[in-house]
Amino acid sequence: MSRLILASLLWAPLAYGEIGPNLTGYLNVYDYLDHSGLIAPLLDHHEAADALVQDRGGFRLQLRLDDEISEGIAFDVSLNFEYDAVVAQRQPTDRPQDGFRVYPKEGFIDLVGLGGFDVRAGRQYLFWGRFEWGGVLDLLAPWDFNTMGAEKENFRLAVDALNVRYTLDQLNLTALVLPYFQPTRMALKLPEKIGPLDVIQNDALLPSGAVQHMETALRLQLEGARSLLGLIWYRGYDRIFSMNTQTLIEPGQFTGTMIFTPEYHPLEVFGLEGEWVSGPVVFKMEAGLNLTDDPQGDDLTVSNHNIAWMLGADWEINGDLSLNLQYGQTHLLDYDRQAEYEARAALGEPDPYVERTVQSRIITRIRYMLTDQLKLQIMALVNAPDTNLLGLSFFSWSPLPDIQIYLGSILFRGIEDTTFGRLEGQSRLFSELKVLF
Amino acid sequence: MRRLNACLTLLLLAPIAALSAPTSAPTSAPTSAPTSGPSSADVIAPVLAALAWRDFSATISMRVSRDGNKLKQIQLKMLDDEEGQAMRLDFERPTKLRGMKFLALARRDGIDSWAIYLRMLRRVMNVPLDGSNVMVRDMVNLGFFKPRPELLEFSDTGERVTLEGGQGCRVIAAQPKNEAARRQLGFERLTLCVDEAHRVARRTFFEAQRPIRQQTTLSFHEGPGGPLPKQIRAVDLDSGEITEVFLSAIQVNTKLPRRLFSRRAISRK
Repeated sequence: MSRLILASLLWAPLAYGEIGPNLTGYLNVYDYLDHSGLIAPLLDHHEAADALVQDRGGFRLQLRLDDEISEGIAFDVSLNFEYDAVVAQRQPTDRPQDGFRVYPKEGFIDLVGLGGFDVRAGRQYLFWGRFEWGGVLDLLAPWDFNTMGAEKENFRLAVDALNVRYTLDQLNLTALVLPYFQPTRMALKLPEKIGPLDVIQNDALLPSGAVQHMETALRLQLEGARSLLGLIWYRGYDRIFSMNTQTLIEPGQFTGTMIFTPEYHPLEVFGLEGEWVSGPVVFKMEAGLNLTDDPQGDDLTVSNHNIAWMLGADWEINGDLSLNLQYGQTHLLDYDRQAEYEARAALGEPDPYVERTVQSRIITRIRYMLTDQLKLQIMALVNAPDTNLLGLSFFSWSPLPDIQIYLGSILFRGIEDTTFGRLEGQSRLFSELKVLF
Repeated sequence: MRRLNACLTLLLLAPIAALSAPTSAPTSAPTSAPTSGPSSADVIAPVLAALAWRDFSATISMRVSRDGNKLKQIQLKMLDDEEGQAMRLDFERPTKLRGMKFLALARRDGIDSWAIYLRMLRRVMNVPLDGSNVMVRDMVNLGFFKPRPELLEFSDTGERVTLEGGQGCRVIAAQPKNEAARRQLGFERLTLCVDEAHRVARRTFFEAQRPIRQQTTLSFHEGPGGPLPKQIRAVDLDSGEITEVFLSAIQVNTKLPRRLFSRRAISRK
């Protein structure tokens, strides 16, 4: 697929003759090195070796080519040329050129108005649900927690998909097929030993590319003048891994091995979304029934069935200040927390972390326009009661129309085994200089 | 968004201002009180009749300055479907705004909706109509290039003014019909200087508690659908910011497909 997109980028201009497509893009110089020692009391400061694995520093050139080829046919391709100087130094055997890579970020063809159908085929961003952060129906675009930053394009992933939409008056129907599964990217580093046991971390087990493992989704939306109601169905896989643990104890000895294998399990979701504009406030809701591969709730490696919901609102307080507030819960079904704890302890995990039956989530985001050129954004996502959080705050300064400078911080905190607890080593300050053309 | 809002405001208001002449007098809103006389519909009917175009598209270049210093320059494509009461703005320059699209849908019952597609978020978002986003708000509500009798009550002040260039203008005042309309429009009074010969507004004043903005059209595109603004100048009376708008590649009555004016349409290429 990548080669196809790359090829299309190269030959597409030839199809035009004298009229060329739009070529735009940007050059981005970024520094996500671990400078957290500067504010060590606030951020968890990790060992240098770990930091080197997580750090990023280099530049990215993005070329975007897009145009309408003819009535109803258009394309949009973004190709990244990236050099990360840190990648080239991770291992003693790494060479400088190892830090360079070329990859298509996005690339699709739009066919519009085929008997009322619109088709988008190729690599595309798919954001379902109403919320930017923490939505329970935001199922399709994987996260990349390893490249968190100021711009969404850098920490969400476009997926290869066939996207068909049909509109009839106020009704929109969308059907999706994602031919192969793409997980959320998340650094995972286990200790070399747990107690007397050696630890082995296997590569993640991904669903195969077989037809029966394709992800599929349907969405039916009813749009009013200032409201929206939607039904969603999704069948695919949970993009967050479950950890399969095996413990091998050598007979008669106190030594052995623990083998950890990240696995991705089937997931089926029935969802409901709604949005309503009232005065300066946009109210939003999402709810989903998540059916996992553990109907009895007795499989330790698979999440239980659960119901999740979220309510929230975007409030434009004035032309310079906007506020977002969200609150939601997840209720695990058929879940016996005590039994889960005992079963995992019996497998050799010392004091295993087991999920709460009811989990809450609070999200807030503030955007403030300090001047015409300087903007501040603060976002915090907090999971409770096993508190773990993600914070993303940054200044965005645009001294010239096509220059953007970001200065900010990413903060992950939480107990081990929670999503953000695993990522504490990723906390850092960052800076970016972006020149658009 | 603040600057952008101002620009949007100008764009959307431009049509009415654009019905004006290349002059600068009068420089303040006429203050005559409305007099009893013809009904609101009768007052505005000649103006509406003069605006005979059904749809148009244009490339718009916009320059915002203050004290002679350029603050911003924006280029976009505007699509306006008057019959459907829909407007779409596709931003082209600067590059960081490229791909952003704005959609305003108006209804005769006054229940409007706005949406914006932000390419950075790859998402269409509903935009509140009556936030404190005053500039966008009143621009949109006025900005379907024809005055909206469903939201405004028009009255003939009986006042006449002569603009630079010698055009005689009749002064029409407009006020929101009700509190809901006032919140949506974001102003309390609108004054139109209507050219008596061509029956188009030459100059427009906006007032909240006081005059807040004045717009003048410097030139017109004369086409089969009546006059369309081609060059507009707007002054924000609070900040002193001056926004100059120039329309090019104007195409009138090309039967723009209705499907271009939907949330789905602004999310695709």
